[in-house]
Amino acid sequence: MLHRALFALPLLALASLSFQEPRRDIGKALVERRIENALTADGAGTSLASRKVAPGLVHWHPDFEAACAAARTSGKPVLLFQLLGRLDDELC
Amino acid sequence: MLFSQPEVASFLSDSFECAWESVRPVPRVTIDFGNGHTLERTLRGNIATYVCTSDGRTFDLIAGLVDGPEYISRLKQSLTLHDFISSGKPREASLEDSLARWHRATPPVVREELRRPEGNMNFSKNSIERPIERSLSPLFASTEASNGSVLDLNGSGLRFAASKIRVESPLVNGLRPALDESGLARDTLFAREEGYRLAHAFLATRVLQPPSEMYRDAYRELLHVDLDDPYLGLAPDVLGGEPGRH
Repeated sequence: MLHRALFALPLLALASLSFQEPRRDIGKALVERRIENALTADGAGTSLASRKVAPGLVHWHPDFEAACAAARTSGKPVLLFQLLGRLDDELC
Repeated sequence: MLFSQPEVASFLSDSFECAWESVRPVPRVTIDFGNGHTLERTLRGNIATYVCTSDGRTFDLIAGLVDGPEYISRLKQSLTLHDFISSGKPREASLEDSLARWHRATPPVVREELRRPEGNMNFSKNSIERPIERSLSPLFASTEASNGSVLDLNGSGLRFAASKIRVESPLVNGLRPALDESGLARDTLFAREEGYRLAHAFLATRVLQPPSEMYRDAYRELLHVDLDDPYLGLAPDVLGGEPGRH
């Protein structure tokens, strides 16, 4: 009986450890929290290049195939505008 | 921006089924002022407009930049051509021949005053981008540095290396608005004088191909942009090294 109890003690210790909260690296969190806040702040760290804008006032279909499908109904020609970069980037 | 002009936008939306697509990312240069503020602009960007049938075949093409009124005027020609295609008059078998004849023009003559500049072939963009590219060029900087002399400005005792000023001034000058209006006028003039004929000659041998089959050649031959070059022609002038791809 005593042997079984002694044997069980390490198992109980291991089990209690597994239910504990993982130890937090407080020092690292203090540094990273400020960086995260800075990155999520409005406009902070965001370049013009990544800001999205409406690509002008034209009614754009989502892609060339959709424009062609619409053209088969409307009878209009299709206009495909190609560019380097993206038309919905503020900097394009 | 062209599509922010109400007249252009309404004309396009009323007359065409429109779509846009990116052929590849555009190179960007960022100026970091060191105080949290940055400024970005693009280099070597360019555009092409394909006018297609409803089954996705190209019958007209505009390469490069033009101003809004010119864009509308040129596209009205495309609409006339579309009316002809849709009329049923040309039989399908002869449609390609008809369109090829329409596009075939006398060989273009490149007038010296309209010769495209180095770098971005659009005058309007080139006047902004070329100073930036030159300032980024290690060859330009080293040449200037080796020839630099020291200036004493205003007798204030502040001494600046002339070479540094000569390198950095083009960069500062490049921070003007994205499009030099006088450059856009030159682009429009070039389009009228030469660009349209070049595009017509290009299309004459590719009539009714889908844009996906011709766009790389269009960018290379009409816009002088090799889309397969990872540096879009910025190497070696700006990036250094041997000519060609890296």
